[in-house]
Amino acid sequence: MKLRIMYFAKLRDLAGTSDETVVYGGQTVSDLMGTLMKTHPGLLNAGKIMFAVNEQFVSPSAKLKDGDVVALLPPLNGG
Amino acid sequence: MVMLLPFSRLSMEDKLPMNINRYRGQIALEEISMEGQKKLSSAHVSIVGIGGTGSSAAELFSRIGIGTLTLIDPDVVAESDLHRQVLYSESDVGTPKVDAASNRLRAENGDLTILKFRNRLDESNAERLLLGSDIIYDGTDNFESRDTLNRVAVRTKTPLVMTSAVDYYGQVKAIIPGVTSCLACIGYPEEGENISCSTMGIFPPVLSFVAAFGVNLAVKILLSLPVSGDYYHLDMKSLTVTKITARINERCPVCGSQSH
Repeated sequence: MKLRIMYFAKLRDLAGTSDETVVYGGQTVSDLMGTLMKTHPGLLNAGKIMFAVNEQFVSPSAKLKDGDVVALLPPLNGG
Repeated sequence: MVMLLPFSRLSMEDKLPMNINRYRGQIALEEISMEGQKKLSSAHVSIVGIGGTGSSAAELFSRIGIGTLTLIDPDVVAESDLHRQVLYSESDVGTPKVDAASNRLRAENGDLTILKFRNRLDESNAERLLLGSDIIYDGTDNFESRDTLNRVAVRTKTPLVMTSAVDYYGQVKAIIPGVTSCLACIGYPEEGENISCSTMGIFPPVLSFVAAFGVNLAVKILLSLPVSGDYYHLDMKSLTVTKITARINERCPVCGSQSH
């Protein structure tokens, strides 16, 4: 399946891109993260990440389908 | 253009909890009006953490005429706070933030009632410190405190406006127990490595931006205007605001049983 991945805040720097299209053979968001971390090793230092698919928050176990837009956001803790 | 306000409908016997003339500019707004201003002037907002976002929010709440503010923060003002925490001056360095903030806010608005607690909010004191709040504004700077606020808000059915910021980025979400999702619904962490503004860096204008956004949500809630539980990511590098739908998670460990 083909997915569009969007990186927010510092994840953009760690991935080296703000968004990209990937061809993915797995099933879940969690599996996808494993794949992305291989492509962009900087993401290994990302810490906690929240996931949204098609502009809606999902859990890491959420299943993906062709054409999904996956957003990766770091939860910010400062104030 | 001269805006004629319906003040003539008020009799001299009407006891208004505020100086009408002072708020004339915002009373002219249809969504606020006289009724809304009365609500704001009798509202009680608690601000937990009066640092970067919290001090900007406190100033806005004070100026728009919120009746009572509770300020909660354990820290003293440091020189390194001055570039971004708008309530404090050089002469405040070394002073407890709750004292410096209340002095400044009282000077801005003498009608404001302030309750101040020089405490770190935790599960043991949260309900006591937040007693009577119509809204809680989250100005904390760590995952653990934010998780505590989320749980207390859900337990006491008190609306919470979460704000956070670091670097050039901010995030804002309203939590209205029983109506919207909470932080746990969307996978916001209960704990984790806290990256402070002083180590990661913070662009001061993002704090005002985030605070203004959060105060806007809080005022809407106080005025009973529609507010969703959507999550807003504010990015001052790319000058974008992204809204992500944050639906109630029926199996949420914090609010799941209330989400019906």
